[in-house]
Amino acid sequence: MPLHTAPFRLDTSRLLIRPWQAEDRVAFSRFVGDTEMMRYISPGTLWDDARINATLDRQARQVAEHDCCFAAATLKETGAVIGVGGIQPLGETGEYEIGWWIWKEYWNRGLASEIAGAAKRHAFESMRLPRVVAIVHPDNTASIRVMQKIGMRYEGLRNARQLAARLQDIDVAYYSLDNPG
Amino acid sequence: MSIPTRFEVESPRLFIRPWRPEDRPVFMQRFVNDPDMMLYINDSRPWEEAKVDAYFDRQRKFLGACGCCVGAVVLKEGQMVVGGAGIQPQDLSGDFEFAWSIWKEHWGRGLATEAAAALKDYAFRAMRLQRIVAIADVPNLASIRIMQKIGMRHDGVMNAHDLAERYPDVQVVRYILDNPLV
Repeated sequence: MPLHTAPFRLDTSRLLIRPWQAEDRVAFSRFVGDTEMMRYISPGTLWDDARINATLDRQARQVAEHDCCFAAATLKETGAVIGVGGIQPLGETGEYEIGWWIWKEYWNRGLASEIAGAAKRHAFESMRLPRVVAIVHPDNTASIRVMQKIGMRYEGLRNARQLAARLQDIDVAYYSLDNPG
Repeated sequence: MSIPTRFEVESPRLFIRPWRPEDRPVFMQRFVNDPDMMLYINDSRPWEEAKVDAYFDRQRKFLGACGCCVGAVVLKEGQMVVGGAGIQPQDLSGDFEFAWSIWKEHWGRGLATEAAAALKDYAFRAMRLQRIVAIADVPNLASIRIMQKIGMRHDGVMNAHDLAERYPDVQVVRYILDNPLV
């Protein structure tokens, strides 16, 4: 049961991260249909309509059931959807993962760090989770740097499919952070 | 083919040369007994004396057998030893790998990158290796960044113990660079 009724949202200096709306589908489809974007997210695979539908449906379900999701990251200045960010249960592990993807035209501006910091605060202060984890392709040094910057610790490599059935059969680096509170 | 018995690599600010007996105290103090230096080497724990002996023995043998080794990084100005770096064989993969480690008092000056670039030049021009590799723990971004900077490409994640007997059973990322000259 959600502890509070406000919809999931993360508010940072430049971004508003909020659940997906029907009109975001175009932007989301563009992300998951781009080889460069998906290089580390689902290596070698672009998402078809069925997978896009399943993902957006799952995110809507997660907002209702867990009061969090991997949501649309929008730029406050323009309202444009420029990525994905948030918190979600990691498969059947019982853990919650934080995550972020930034559309490539917005790389190198510190937006991923902004999402990561806000997701961590929300997870610890509002949701009062005992800990959060993050998974990342081992070659994705940009994202690993963000995890290290917010204080996450490397736990080792894990098979992604064993963490969540929807993920690929590949090794991912597993990072975690305990709630200091 | 004769194997060179000298291993001396030079860069603008540095020399890299085989370890000498008198380097042992600084090696112990700045490397083996510094938890920050041992973070990715031995989970921040120091090596036992036997392991240090084995390390120096191994490097002496590599020098004799292959004409290269991991040795002392010496700052030209002042002749101070500021780290260890070099080229060494992986007994199971058959590859040669780069290694570098600059004591933390000297971080932030680009010395590791300078050593890496000089080693790359030596591996390709003097040793004429077909290719060279480097491995790092997944979270060791400082080292991975240097691999990327000198043009190495990511080759995947593998078990270090499958590459060289001396390495523990741990997953590492491997970077590779082919020699453009051969």
